[in-house]
Amino acid sequence: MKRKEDWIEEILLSSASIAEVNAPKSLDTINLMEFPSEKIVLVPLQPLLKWAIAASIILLIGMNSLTISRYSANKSSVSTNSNALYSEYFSYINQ
Amino acid sequence: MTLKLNEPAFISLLKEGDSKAYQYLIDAYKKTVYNICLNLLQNMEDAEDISQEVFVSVFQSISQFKGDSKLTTWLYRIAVTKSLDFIRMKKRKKRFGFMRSIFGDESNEPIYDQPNFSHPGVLLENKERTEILFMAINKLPEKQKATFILNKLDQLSYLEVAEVMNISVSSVESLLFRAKQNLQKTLSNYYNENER
Repeated sequence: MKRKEDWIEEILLSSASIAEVNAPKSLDTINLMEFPSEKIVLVPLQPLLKWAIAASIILLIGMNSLTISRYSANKSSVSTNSNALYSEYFSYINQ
Repeated sequence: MTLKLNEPAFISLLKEGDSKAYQYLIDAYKKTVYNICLNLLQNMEDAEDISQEVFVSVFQSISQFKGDSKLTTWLYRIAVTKSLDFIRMKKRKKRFGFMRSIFGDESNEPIYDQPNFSHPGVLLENKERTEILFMAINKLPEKQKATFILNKLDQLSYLEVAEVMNISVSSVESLLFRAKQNLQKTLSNYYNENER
């Protein structure tokens, strides 16, 4: 068992025997100037495109609010109808 | 060429795009950057490509360097990040290739496992031992692997490793402790399988 532990320790200590190597020659000749440096470029939007985006947002909001208002109107009419049905069904109690 | 400048002045020269400053940066740090990449990637060609990418990346993004850390820390961080990204990309490619082979899509690109890595900086008598060590290191989780390599192979101090990895010194200690435990486990299994 001792032999195994010694062997593991030997392998772990072998990391100390790894020497630094020289960098390859290709790194000496790398010409950084041929790579453009990163710059944030702001591309201005055309006025027509701006208005188109604004119109589509307004249209989207409008359609959503219209759908919501229609849905809530339907919901209230359904609840009124169902109330009428209940009162009709249970009307015999009052008779 | 010698450049007797303090770091902020040197960084401002780099930001101005001074070609001599860049040449100095490459000359001064190419060896360390290449060795970090080599130890992480365990492939000489890949390490060469990624080292080049590191310097290109420094050149392209020096304007974003705020000087919160030392220039070397930033440089080594780029080297570690790029190497780990490359390893992830290779693993993803391998997984994707395997999936494609299941579905019968024949690809021209061969898929093969990385062979045992023979480090060029190791003497012949230690070759077998370091090959086994690299095999075990490869099985470590990403963070433990990077921490172990930076500290034990690239000889960076705990503080330097913490700065490069953007973690605390106590996290470095714990990662190294866990890395050593995992390495011992892997090596123990290897020993049992090979019946020494």
